[in-house]
Amino acid sequence: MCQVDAGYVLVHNPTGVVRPVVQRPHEWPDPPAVALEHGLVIVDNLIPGMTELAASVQARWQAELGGPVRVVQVPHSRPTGAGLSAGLAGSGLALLGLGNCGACTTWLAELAADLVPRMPVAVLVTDRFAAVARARLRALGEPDLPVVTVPDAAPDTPPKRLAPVAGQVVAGCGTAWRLPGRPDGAGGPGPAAGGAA
Amino acid sequence: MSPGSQLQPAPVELEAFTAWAAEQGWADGLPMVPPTQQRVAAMVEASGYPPDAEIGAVPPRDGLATVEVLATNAVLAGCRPGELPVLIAAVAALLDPALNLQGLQCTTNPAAPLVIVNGPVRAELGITGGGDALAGGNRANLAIGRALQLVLRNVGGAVPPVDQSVLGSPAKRGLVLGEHEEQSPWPPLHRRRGLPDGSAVTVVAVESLVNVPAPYRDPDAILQMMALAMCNGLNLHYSSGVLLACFNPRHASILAAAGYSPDRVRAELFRRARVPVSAYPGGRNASQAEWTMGGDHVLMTDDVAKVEVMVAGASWPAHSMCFNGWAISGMASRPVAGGWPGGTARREGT
Repeated sequence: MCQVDAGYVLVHNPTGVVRPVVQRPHEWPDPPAVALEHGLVIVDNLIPGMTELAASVQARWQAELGGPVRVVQVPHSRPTGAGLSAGLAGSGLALLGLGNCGACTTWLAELAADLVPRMPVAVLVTDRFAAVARARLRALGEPDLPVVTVPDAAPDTPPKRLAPVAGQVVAGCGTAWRLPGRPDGAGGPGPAAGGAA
Repeated sequence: MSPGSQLQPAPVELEAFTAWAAEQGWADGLPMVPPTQQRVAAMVEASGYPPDAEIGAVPPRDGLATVEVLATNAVLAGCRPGELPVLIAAVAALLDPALNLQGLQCTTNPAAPLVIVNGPVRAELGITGGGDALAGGNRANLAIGRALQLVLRNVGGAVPPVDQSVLGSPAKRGLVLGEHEEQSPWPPLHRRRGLPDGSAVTVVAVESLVNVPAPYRDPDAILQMMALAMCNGLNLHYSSGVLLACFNPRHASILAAAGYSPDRVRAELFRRARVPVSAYPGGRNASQAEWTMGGDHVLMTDDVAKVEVMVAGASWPAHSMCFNGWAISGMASRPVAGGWPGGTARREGT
């Protein structure tokens, strides 16, 4: 029995331990020297604003980096299924968005953790939901999985004004994935403007 | 001790302990009872469970909820020892994938779990389902509800900024309700959901409580008022959550006398709980991707199985209540092992 000072008593901690998660090995080089020829797939979970943002990122990516970019749409409450599997097949990179609610953010984090052994993945969230994504990814044993952020106002931004936000996303992916020509993500605005953690 | 437990010195005096617990991040703003070894051991002992039995990992933090960890939170909340089995069953039900607890813990919506208790444990512990049951004044309902919320915060990590609820809800302080089986014309909820005789909990994530004042003797009018109440809440956007019709004994007796079984009530409410597309604002509305359509109407949920019926509240006057579910979630039921006083059933998890 431990000795405690007068006026003190031993109490149990109510938080419970978090079991260490054994990170699964990645089948791709880490850090990824990503070959762009396999292309990017953007998973659009149809949350308000994501379809427009996905189109803008697609255009910006192709203009800056080239290579195929596809967009796969999934209902945000059901980001699974054969359509998603077919859309991801053959792609080299996956950007999963948009996390802008509790359920969609945690689902995207789980999907990312499921995919990352097979391909480099990033989760795209609004600033507000970055903490949620990181908390879930940490619990899933993928604390270093990239979280690319956009401003909270991005989902309400008219499509014509999305180009700077798309630029931030591409730059954030560049930082996260060390894209060819952007070894340190230095070719873009960098984390301050479009953070990747 | 269970793998989730760690002992540390804390002030023994109540006010000092509450302040200290807040510094540890364990608190919910109310005074707390120090979870001493003696209190936690008594809580575990009365449950009949081994202290290291693992109920599961509570997301999003994935803290491991052992019986001892749950007992610790129960002590903090002011539970009596015999109340731990109800908390254990509620946590086990919440961890059912149907509840989507990880999303519930982080959602922007004012969603919180409602724990419905059935069986003899209600009388044994004093869990009420009668008049004013959701208000203050009933110790068991309040303490168990508070303990569950502490588990979600302390073990699951659902505190801001991970908990993103824009305004929160009083329901997030705890929401426990006994079914008023003694005045129900229908079989109890847990029996209709396939559980055996005995005590049980059913958990549903609710986001809005809508009063249904229906001073009618006509069952059709009562059903229509309840269906109107169901056309509120997040289901307007996603048409996929649980719609829980909580009839007071008077309304239930009128329906039963007219030949309505629970399943017939559910089917009728499912048919009626819909909103014409023309009632929605125009323009961009991405939630349309989540709608379930019935002709030119949006169904408030996509499956009759997500409409549920229970009986609670005072017998008079004619007020029922609709619990509109958080739209991306379902229901789950679990038996309550043990009981008060001194249950002896031992379970290796639930």
